Parts: sequence; C-alpha cells; structure tokens
Amino acid sequence: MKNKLTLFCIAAILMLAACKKDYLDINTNPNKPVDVVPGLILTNALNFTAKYTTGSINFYQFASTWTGYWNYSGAVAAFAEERSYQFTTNYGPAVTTWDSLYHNLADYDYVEKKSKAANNQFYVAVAKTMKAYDFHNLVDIFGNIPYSQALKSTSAIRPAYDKGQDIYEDLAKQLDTAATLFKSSAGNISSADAAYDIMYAGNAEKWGKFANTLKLRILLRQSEMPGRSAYIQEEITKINANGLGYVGAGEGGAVNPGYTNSAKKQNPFWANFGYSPLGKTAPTDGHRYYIASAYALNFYQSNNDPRLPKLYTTIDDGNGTTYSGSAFGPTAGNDDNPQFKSAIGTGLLKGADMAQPLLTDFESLFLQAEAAQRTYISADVRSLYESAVQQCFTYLGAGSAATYLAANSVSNWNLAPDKLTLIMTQKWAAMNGINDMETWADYRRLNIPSDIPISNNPAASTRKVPVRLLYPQSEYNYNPDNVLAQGTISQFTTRIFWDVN
Amino acid sequence: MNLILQDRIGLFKIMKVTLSQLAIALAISGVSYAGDSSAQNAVLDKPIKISVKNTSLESVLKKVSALTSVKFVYSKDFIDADQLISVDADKKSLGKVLNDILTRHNIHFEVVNGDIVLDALSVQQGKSDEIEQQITVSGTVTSNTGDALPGVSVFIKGTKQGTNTDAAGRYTLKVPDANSVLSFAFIGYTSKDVPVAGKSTLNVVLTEDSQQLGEVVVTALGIKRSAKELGYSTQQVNAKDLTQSRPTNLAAGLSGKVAGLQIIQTNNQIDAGDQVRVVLRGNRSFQGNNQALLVLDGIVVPLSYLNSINPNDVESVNVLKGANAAALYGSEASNGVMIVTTKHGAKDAMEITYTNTTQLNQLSYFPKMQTQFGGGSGQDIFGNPLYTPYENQNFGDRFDGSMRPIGRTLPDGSIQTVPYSNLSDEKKKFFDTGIDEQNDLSLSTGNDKSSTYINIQRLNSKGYVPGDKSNRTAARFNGSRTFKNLKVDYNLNYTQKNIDKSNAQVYNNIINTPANIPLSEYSDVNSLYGNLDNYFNDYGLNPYYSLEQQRNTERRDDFLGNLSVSYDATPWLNLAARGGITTFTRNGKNTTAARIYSDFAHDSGKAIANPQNYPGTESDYSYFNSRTEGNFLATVKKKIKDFSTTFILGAQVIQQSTRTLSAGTDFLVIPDFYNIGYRSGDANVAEANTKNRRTGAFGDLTLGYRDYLFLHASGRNDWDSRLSKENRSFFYPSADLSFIFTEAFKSLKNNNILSYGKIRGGIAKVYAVQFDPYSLQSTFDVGQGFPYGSTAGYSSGKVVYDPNLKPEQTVSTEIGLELGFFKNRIMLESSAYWETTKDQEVIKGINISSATGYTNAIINTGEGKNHGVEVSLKGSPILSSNANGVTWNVGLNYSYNNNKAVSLYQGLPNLSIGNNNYIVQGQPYPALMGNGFQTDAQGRTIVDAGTGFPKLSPTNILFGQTTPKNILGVSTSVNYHNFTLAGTAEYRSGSVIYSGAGSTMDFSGISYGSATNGRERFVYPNSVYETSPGVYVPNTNITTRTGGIDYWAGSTTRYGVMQNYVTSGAFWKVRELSIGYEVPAKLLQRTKFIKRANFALVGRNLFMFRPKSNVYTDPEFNANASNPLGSTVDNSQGSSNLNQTPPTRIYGFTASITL
Repeated sequence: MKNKLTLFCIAAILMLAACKKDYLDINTNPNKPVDVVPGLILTNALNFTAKYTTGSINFYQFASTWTGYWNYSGAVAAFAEERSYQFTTNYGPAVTTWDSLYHNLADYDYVEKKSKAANNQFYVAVAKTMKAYDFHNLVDIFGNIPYSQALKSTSAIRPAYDKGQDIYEDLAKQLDTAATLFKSSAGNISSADAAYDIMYAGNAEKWGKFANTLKLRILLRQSEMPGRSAYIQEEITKINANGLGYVGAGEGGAVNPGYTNSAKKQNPFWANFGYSPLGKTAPTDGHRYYIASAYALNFYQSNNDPRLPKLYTTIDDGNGTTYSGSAFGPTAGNDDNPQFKSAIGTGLLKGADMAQPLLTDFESLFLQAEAAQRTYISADVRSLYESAVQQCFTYLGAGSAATYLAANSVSNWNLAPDKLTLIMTQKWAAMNGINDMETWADYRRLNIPSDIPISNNPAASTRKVPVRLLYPQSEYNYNPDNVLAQGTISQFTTRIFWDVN
Repeated sequence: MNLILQDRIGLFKIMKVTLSQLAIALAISGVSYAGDSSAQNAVLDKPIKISVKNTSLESVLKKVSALTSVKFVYSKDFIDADQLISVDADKKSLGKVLNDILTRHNIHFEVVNGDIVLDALSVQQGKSDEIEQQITVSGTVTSNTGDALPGVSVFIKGTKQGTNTDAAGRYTLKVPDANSVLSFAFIGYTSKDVPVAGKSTLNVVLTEDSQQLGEVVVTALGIKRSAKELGYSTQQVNAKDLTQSRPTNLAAGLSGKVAGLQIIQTNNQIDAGDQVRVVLRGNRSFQGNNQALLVLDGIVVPLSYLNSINPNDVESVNVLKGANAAALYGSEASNGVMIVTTKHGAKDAMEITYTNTTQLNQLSYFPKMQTQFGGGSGQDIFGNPLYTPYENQNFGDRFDGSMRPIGRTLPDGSIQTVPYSNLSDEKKKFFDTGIDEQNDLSLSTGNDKSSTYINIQRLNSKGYVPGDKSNRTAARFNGSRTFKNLKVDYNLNYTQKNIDKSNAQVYNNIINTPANIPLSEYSDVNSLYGNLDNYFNDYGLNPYYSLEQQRNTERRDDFLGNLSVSYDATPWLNLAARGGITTFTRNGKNTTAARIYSDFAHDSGKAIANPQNYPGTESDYSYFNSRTEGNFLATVKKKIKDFSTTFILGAQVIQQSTRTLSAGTDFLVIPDFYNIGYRSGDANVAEANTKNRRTGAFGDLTLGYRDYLFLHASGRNDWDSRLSKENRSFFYPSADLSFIFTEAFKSLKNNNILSYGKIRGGIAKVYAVQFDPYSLQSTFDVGQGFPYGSTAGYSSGKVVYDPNLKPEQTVSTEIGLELGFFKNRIMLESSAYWETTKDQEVIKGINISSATGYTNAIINTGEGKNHGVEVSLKGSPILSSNANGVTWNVGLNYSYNNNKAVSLYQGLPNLSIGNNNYIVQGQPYPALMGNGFQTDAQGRTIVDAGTGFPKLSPTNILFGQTTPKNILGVSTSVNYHNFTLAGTAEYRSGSVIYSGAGSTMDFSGISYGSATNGRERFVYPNSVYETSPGVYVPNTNITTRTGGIDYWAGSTTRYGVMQNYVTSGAFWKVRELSIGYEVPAKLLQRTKFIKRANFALVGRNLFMFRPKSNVYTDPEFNANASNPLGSTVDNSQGSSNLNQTPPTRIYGFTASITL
C-alpha cells in the first residue's frame, strides 16, 4: 500500500514537474530564421528582381508579341488573351508581376530599414534604387498603385493608392538621395557588403550611374506630357549635380548570383526561353511556345541586320539560312509549329550561366541619345546613338555595327529624316528580347514604330494595343475600396499618366 | 419500468462474457466467489453494521449502499428484489455480510469498477442428481443477431435446477418430465420461457434488449459513466454493428451509424482509406481543424489511424458529439471525440478465432460519354470537323465505320489502322478487379486476475488500378493484470503498411483518349503501337505506361503503446495514472522514369516528344510523428443519503513532435536507377521539425440525486507552448444536467408505453489552439534558386503573424430528449445544439493585398455560428418469440446542421480556403464559388447577340455550401433461423459539388453532353439577349457561333466555366449489405473443437443514387490535400478532379471460426 502510494506520488510529482517554468518555452522556430542580416536579403532581392522583370516570362508573354518581336507557336493551344487583347483581372502576367514586385519591394524595404539602423548608407542607397526600379515598373503597368501606404504590413492592411505621377516624382527624389549616398560611400564599401552585391560587387559609382540612368528613364517617360519639360529639365540638373553620370558602354547593370546549367540554377531568361539542363534536345516550353514574328524578322532581314542570326534561329530545313516568322493575331496552325519557324536565337540565349541584365548599357545610351536629342542633356546625339547600336551588337555577339550604321535610312544617322524616330526605331530593334516591357512603354508613349502589326484575331474586337494591364483580382478581393476608387479600368482607354499620345 | 437502483444492462453488456464465464467457474467449483479476491478487498473489507428483518432485498441493498457509498448493480429480471431477507451484522466486513445475505438467495456478486454487480447464481449441478430426471435436453442459445451466447442461465422453471451455456452457447440439462418449461436468462437480453414439449433439442434465440439506458459509457479520459448521468449526447457503436459487412477499415464501418457523424472517404486509390475526413456536427472553424479527435484505448492518435485499426479488434466506438462531451480532453476535443476501445481477453476460457475476408473491388461507375465522334481538333474552312489521327481531343468528324489510321506513320512506313467507330468501353476495361484478402488470427484468454488478447492480422490488397498493391500487417497485444487493489492495463499495437502505387493521373489520361482508340490493345507498353515513341497520342502517354512511369512506394510503421495503473486506495478513492506513446513513421520514395524519345518521334513533331529527353526524377521522404501523453486522475465517490457524488481531479501532460526530411532530384543521370546520389545538379532537400507541449489541470464533479437527477460540471485550465506567455494559459468550464423524469414521478413509473424518459441540457465553452507551433513570428525563406554555389540569399516570408494569437473559442449549448417506448423496444434520442465560434484562428491567414508586402496575415478574426438537430431512433418492429422466427431491427440516424459565417475580417466579403471553397460572410461555410454566366432577373442566361454564346458574369457566383445539411443513415438487420441480413444506407443532401472531370471531358470532347447537339450550332437553352440596356428578349433564334470544338473546348463557354459543372451533391448510397450464416451449434458439437463458425457474403457501396444532373462522379470524392499522416486537413470540400479514380463497389465473403 505504501509503495503504491509512493508510486502515485512520484507520478503526480513528475506531472507537476512538467509544469515547471520553462517547460513550455519551446516555441523557438527551428525551421526558419526570424532575423537575417540585410546582405543576405539583398542578394536574393536582386536575383528576384531579375527573375521577375527582365528574366521573367511576364515581361515577354504579351509585350513581345504586341511589340512585333515574337509570336506564339502552334506547340500549344493558348494565348487567346494576348492574341485578342482581351483579358481579365485574373490575367497571369499582371497578377504575378503585381504580387512578385511587391514581395520584392518588401525585401528591399527590409534592407533599407535594417541598413538605415546600422548606418550602412550603401545598402540604403541600393535599396532605394531598386525600390524605384520596381515601383516604376508597377506604375508603367498599372498606373496608380499603393505607394506611400504600401509595405506597411498589418498597420496599413488596405493600402490606399497614390497617383502615378506623384509616385514618379517621389521616385525621382529617392533616386537623387540614392545617388548622393552612392557618391559619398564610393570607395568605402566593406568587402563583406560588396560580396552580397551580385550586380556591381560593391561598386558604388556604377550603382550611382545606374540610379541616374533609371531616373533618366523615368523622366523621359514623361517627355510627351504637356508642360512637363521644365520639371524634367530641373530634375536632370539634379542628376548632373551628383556628377556620377549615366551608365556607359560596358557598365550595364546585370545580376548574376552564380547561374549555372543545372536545375533551378539557370539564368532566369534561359530557364524560361532556353533549354533544360539536358541541353538542346530539351527545350523549355517557353522556347517552343514562341517563334519569330514576321514583322520583326522582316525588319532585320530587309536591312541585312547582322543581329538577325543572333536574335532568331534558322529553321531546320537543312539549309541553315532560312528564317521564317508568322503574323501575330490568328490562332496558330500546324504551320506555326516550332520546327517550321524561327525560334529565339543565341544572342539572347547566350548561356545558362549568363548574367541577367536589368538595365543594359545600350538602353542607357539610347536613353541618353533621346535625352540629348530632346536637349534635356547636352551631348553628341549621334555618337550616343551609334554607340548604343554598337553596344547592342556587342551584347548579342553580332560584331561591328559600322556597316549597318552606314547602310540606309533605317540606321544611318545622316540619312534618317527624323532623328527621334531613328533613335526610337533602333531602340525598338535593340531591345528585342532584352526588356520588352520598355519597348511597350516606348510604343505607348511615342507610337514608334508606327506600323507594328495589330492583331486581326476575330476575337480582338478592339484593334488596338492595350495601354495597360488590369489591376489583379486580388486587389478587388482584399483591397476593394481603394482599387474601386480608381474607377472603371479599361485596357484600351485608362492610360498611364505619361501616356498622352 | 423494471430498472432499479443502478446501472443495469449496459454494464453487463460490457462485462457479459467475463461475468458469465465467471458464473461457469462458480458453477463448477461450487459456492466460492470472488469475495476473497484481493482486488475486491478495498470494497469488501469495509466493516459494516446492519440489522434488518424481513425487509425487501431492494431496501437492504439501498441501506448498505447508503452506509458504504458502494453502488449495487443488478437487473430485476434476474434478481428478485422484493424477496424478504433478514440480516444482523455488527462490524462484519461488507463481503461477509453480502456473502451471508446473497448466497442464501442464490445471488452471486462481484466488484466491477468499484460497484457491486449482482447476478443470479446458477444452481449447483451437484445437487441435481438428487431429483429424478428422465429427459436430457440440449441445445444452443444464440442471440437474435446470430451470435452464440455463452454463459446463459438455463433453469427448469419453478425449480432451482439449472446450468449455464458453454463458450459455444451450448447447454445440456436433465429435466424431470416432458412438460417442463425451461427459463433462459442472460443479461442484456430479454429472458424467455420455452416448454420442453417432449423435445430433446431446444435451440433458443434470445433477443437483445434494445435499450441502452443503464449502459456504461466511456467518456472523456476513459472515465466510465452511466449513460443516464450524462447531460450531453453520446452514441455508441458496438463491434457487431461495425463489422457486419466486414469493412477492412473502421471508417467504412462507421458511416451512417451515428447521427451527426459525417465520414468522407475522398478517394478510391489503394491508400485512399487514409484520406478520410471525420466531422461531427459540421464545420465550426473556418480554416482550423474541424475533425473529431480519435482516442484509441485512452490515447489520442491521428485521425488517419482510424483506418489502421483492425475493425475486428474493436470492442466499441463511442462518439462524444459536442464540445460539451469533451471539455475534459481539452483543446483537441472541441470537435467531439471518437473513443475506440479494443477487446480484452475473455475470462476463464481460451478462444482462438480465425477470420478470413476476401473482397473484390470493381469499377462501379464511369461517367457517360459520347459515342458519335472520334479524334480531332481541326476544322476545314467551312467549319466542318476534321479527323486527326494523333489527337487526344474528340472533335473529329462523325463515326462512319471506315478504316482510318491512328497515330503517326512509323519510320518503316507502317501505321495502325482501325475502324472509325465508338470503342468507349475500352476505357472501363482499363481498370482491373481489385482484391483485398484479410486474414486475422486472434487469441483471447484470461482469468479473474489477468486477461490477454492477441491479434495478428495481414491484409493484402491488389488495387483496381493496374499495378497498385499494398499490404498491412498488424499485431495487437492487450492485457490486464490485477494485484490486490492495483490494476494494470496495457495495450501494444504495431502496424506496418507497405504501399506500391502509381502517382500518375491515369484517369485524366484515359479520359483524354478519343472514343475510336482501342485502348486495351496498348496494355503491352513494349508493343509496336504501345511503346513510348509510337503510341498514337501526340499529347499524352500511353496510360499503361504512365502507371509504370510514375510510382510511389511507402512504408508506414505505427507503434502505439499505453500503460495504465489504477489503484483503489480506499473504497471511495481511486487513483489512476496512464502513460501512452504513439509514433508514426512514413518512409517513401517517388520515382519518375526517364523518357527518351527516338529521333523519329521527336522529328515527326509529336508534341510530347519535345523535349526529346526527360530525365528521371526521384524524391525520398521520411516523416516521423510522435505523441506522448501522461494523465493522472484521482476519483472520489461518495454517497450520502439520496445524493451521490463523483469528483475527479486530474492533470495531463502532452508532448507532440514531428520531423520531416526530404531529398530528391529532378535530374537522375542513369535512367531507371533511382538513387539521389547519382544525379546532376543540386538535390532538392528540406527539413522541418516541430515540437509542442501542453499541460492541463482539471476537475469534474457529478452530483446525483435519487438516481434521476444529475448535475455535472467540469473546469479545465490548459497551458499551451504554441502561444505567447501572456496568452498561454486559458480556462474553460462546462456544465450539464440530466433528469430522468420517468424515474422521478411515480405516475410515470412502470408505464407500459413510455418506459424511459430523460431530458438533458448542457453548456460548455472550449478553447482550441489550431495554429502550428512557431506561428507568432514572421520568418525568412530561402530565396528561390538559392544557394547558387556558395552564394546564399534569403527572402522575407510572405506571411505576417500576430504575436498575440489567442486560442479559438467555441461556446456550445445543447439540449436533448431521450425516450424509450414499449419496454424500450423503441428508443428515441434527440439533440439540438447551438455553437458559436469566435476569435477564429485563421491558420492559413487572411488574404491581404500584396501591396502590404505580405500576402497573408495569420490572426484571430471572425465568428461562425452552427446549429443543428440530431435524431436517433432504434427499434425492433418484429421480435421473434422463438429461435427460428423473424427478428427485425432498424436504426435511423438523422442529423441536420446549418452554419453561418457571421463575420470575417474588417468587412472582408470572403476568405478563400482552396479548391474553390470560400468562407462567405453571411453564408453557410464552406461555400463553393466560381465563375458562371450572367442571368437576367428571371434567371435566364444572357447570351451575346452576336455569338449566341452565354456571357460570363464579371463576378464570381455563389453556388452553395459544400457540406451536407442533411445526413440520414439507416441501418437494419433481419434474423431468421441462423441467417442474418443486414444493411446500411446513407443519404446526404443540401450541398453542391464541382466536378472537374466534367471540364476535362468537355475539353477533350468525350463528354456525353458535347455530342447532344451533334456538334451543330444550337440555341442556348433558356436564354435571353439584350436588345437595349436592361431589356432582355427570349432567345429563340440566335444560335451559337459554333457547336463544335470552339464551344465545348472554349474556356469562356464550357470547360473554363465552373458553373457548367456544379451540381447537387445529394446522394443515397447503400453502403453495406451483408447476409450471414451462423453454423448451428448442434452441427459444431460433433467436431468437438469448433465453438463457433459463421460465414457471410458482404457488399459495400453497392448502389449509389444521385440527382440526374450529376453525371460525373461520386459526390463524396474530393480533391483535397492530405497531411503527412494522411488525413485530409483542408475544410474545402465538394470539388473533385481527375486525380481521383472512378468509384468502385466492393463485394466478397468472410468466414470466421472460433476454437
């Protein structure tokens, strides 16, 4: 009896002992960290930007066909939305871009806040620059978006929308601040901080140029807005004030965390439009779904453009010289199957390990050329223009552009009747497969090239390239008051503030 | 009302084997009873002083009861409570006093769970010689359900001569003359007098007393309580009812048998038994767990284990339906509890039972398909459909019987040519007949100090999907041992399951095969036209090959053990401790074979052969889950005059941990060599561990007044490691009242019509912690693609957490009425309940605008209300008066449940919970929502005046709730001679389902509907078009632009529009049907060693009746995520796709022999 009582007492004591103070303090997450140094976040954020902007299928799925570069092959019965310009608030590229860029922004925001607290000016500047990169892309696609109340977690769970123009103006300020910080921190970047920077490896001067160029891009977007030139001019003066200049030849911003030809480690553009790690016998879906658009193919072909074999493949007819594209619009037939058509070429698909450009040197040169042409900046327009074309040739591995630049009025500075048209047409020719979203923006702004084919798909009841995408359905579901305050959105008439033509 | 004092029938029901066998022992050994047994000392040693003369036994027992706080349990059917007795005792032990009183009157007593159980003592056979006996009568006593009844008292009426039946229900008795009458009596059964009438064989059937009033119900923490004390709803299903159709898993055996219990088996594959969802009284939590807690022999086990429990091991399943019933189990039990009790060894006998069950599993239902058109997707310039030999869509021209090529021309110039006609039966031929073969061997033995039950089981299954197979080996070892006042119970169970199945979505593949394809000809995947390169389909694999190509093998090892110790410190104080551990491990491997296409296949433009190479992939996974639990209970029982008190004080500690490891590669180097070491590139690896601890302390008080009024109250405080220090501790109370009015009022006593009546009511509050551990802090994820070599990169998680998360709170109120009519031949039990769940734990998070930087916020928000009614009716419309007559038992279980999402979050209109299921404010939840067409005010579909196509609605359409409002289960059994016919049917209604299969079938042009208009243009039925804004004119002449592929495979007209595939989810299912035969004992007697033998033909899911609109599949099937332990965790329901295989019916036979 006594023994048994003892037994029970022991059991009872054990149970009580279990209630001792720290018995329940085991809720520390062993699976995921709750605090991380900003550098590690920055590394991913830069790669993520590359993955979800210029390296992303979202930047090409509609923009590449609406701007006349590519077309959809007959390998898949899809893309009815893009062919007809008819899409909904559930349209994939819009939904994904919205979600991924805001997610990306949250990471940059974390880097900015953490680095500010740690007085790491370089990272603050990088974060500000990259936030501007993401935000202006969002504005270019959606117009008014949450900005001042964005990224505030549950404290602004239904963030209000800001006007696109207000956001642009603030981005310009942020980029000024960033450039100033880059300038002041140049040469003082610790090797540890530099190591996390997978774009410029801690080179603050290059970052400063990147920020300036991005600001130039933002300012030029507003070039057609009536009465805007004074503002633009004023802002350019601020760029000039920091003295860092713009991205020059060989200084393009491109991200490479160490891409390699193995699963999930490939360059994102390659992973989308190239080949699986098995190589040429295993093209990705993206590679098979996109073929050359007859319009662009014709442009390069008729101008003997050395970039043609770099941008498109020849078809498999044994000759090795035949190119074939198809007209954008109609539903693809069997003739449009990839084996009969030109696919994405080796100048764009340089290798699975290639760096992913966010802003190329030739885009910067074209931007400068346009700015100079508009007299926003004082520089030799022609040399900027020719340098831009040459850098594009260089990027694609097409050799010297000298012959091409001399050839005819499509490329020759002197022969071209309208210099802005020349610059913008050549910019269109250069940006193919590099950043088709920029081309779409330029087209919306200037309608150059003016003869880009409009879809004749029977379902395309409005025969016009859309001027925007629709807000994602998630906003109507989770942030309804604010998105509804933007009014009825039409992809044909609700323009982005800078799109006045 | 022939019920007196204490619990009557039920306790005996549970104890009947042991008691009756004890009685046999007594009969053999003369009068010596367990009074000396040390286990009973604590009760029986108690000194007592009593002196009465010629007082009724009933009064004496009451007096003793009052003096000692000991309860007496007996039935007036056996014990003449009115017989007058005299006793004079002073400071004698209770045992001695009882010995004096009872033995004299041929009454045996035994201490069972602290109560004293009285039983009529069979007459000593030794004395029977003294009377002249002329005739020997023998026979077998069986129950109305066909079981042999051991231990039945058989008396010569009017004498004290008698005997007991043996383990096989047999008896032999010498009677004085041919006119003697034999009395058969057995606890739990209606006793019966049978005249000998000159016969030498008298086989008797005793009818089970349908009432379960005095039944002892196992309630929370294994506390046994008399059913009449309970102020809340419980329902018990015993072994017999569970296993009548020999289900190979317990979930199947429970369906339709408990009011308010919804068991959903969402799939049909080889391991589908694990994909089970069990909900009591509908959904309360929006996103949290709504499933019942499963308790096996006192230990909580994962719900999926319902299907690892060998149904033949089960003694009973007790269902505690509401939070009211379960307050003592703590948070986990807020959704009700299913308590499974396994068998223990029989006393003083050794029984060996062998059971074989063999069942066939056959395709029962295939959706209706069109039979007029063959493969194709193209059209000529006039819009006429064209035949395409290598298409998987069915939009070719009309069958004409001509010989046509299929597939592509092979390199040698050959091409398969077949008649162009309908071959859709080929699709059904694809499926095999599955076979389940289950062998069980059990041994049951024991004496009054110990018991042992051992069961070994092996189940071999061959799936009806070709190549799928599984097996299950289980061993159970249950035992108990009594040492003086100490009782030790233990259960050990080990189960190993091996599964080998295909991961391929083969049903999808089959549906995407045109009607003119001779599918079964490709069963040889190496044949000329069946091989990878030459298979006709440009877009899909040969389904026979895809079964081989994607495989999953898994081994599951489950170990359960528990040990409980119970100690009677004093007659009124019992101390008990229980410890249990359950561990589950899953180790498995998924493989996908490499596909390397020939240059021919690749160059011919065959879409699936491009890319030409697909590397093999594999992934290994290991999942470990363990739960340890310790309970400590102190029980005080006191009886003071008219008041009885039971007070329980307890504490509980629980620790749960999981560990998941996975490693895999998408790039195996050597085809068909599936080892992760032999890969290129990085491996995909992941690790996750969780651990949480909970402690609880509780008190539980039952006050009884004169055995007809019971007040019960409990309180519990929990401490949960998953919450912050501030919110970690929470207290929740419950109270209920039970009033047996037929006992309380003299005028109602012994009423012939209303024999039993009880009303009850209760209220309980219970908290649930639904969150996983570590849900208080936002975390960082590994960035996509990282690490790139040595470069790491992390990203902030998309989920924002609330550090102040609270437990989810449910307040549940219920009332009930229980009535027994005609001596409880008809029993009605009904409940109504109201539940409100506040501070809903949104475990997956409220969706928030991505612009916040996050996509989900995990918070407490929202309120849901639930109410419902449950009615359970049991009765025996026909009761056989003799052994060979007809006995018919019927049970009806009906439940109605309605719920409503009262509020969500800051006016949030709805919350997606996946699979097109939403919580919609102001609506029952979950609800199905999706896209559909615009309608005018009269509900007519608006078509586009230009195209004739219906116009899509810009907003989602609410189709209805996905859980049934009404569930009706009907169980019945008919006995005649040695035959038993039993069946269970279930009806569910009030919900809608979405059949993804319909979408795929329209897209592929195989659906029946897609050919009803002959692929011609048609006027959209019941449609209108708009002539001016808001003016709609009935459409009689605008035909659709096309009635062919553009319409049926159109994303905005058919396949992409959910509304086209939403139908009522109602059904009637005949879940079980069985006919059993019990071999007459007379025949078995000759074998000398077989005690019992029975055979049965069984069928399950034999028939399914649905509304005509549902032409696609079993409405119970559901695309739903399972957790690593197999049970479906999502609350989303009613959304199926082709990842499920088509429904089957099961039939087979079972044979059981007991030695």
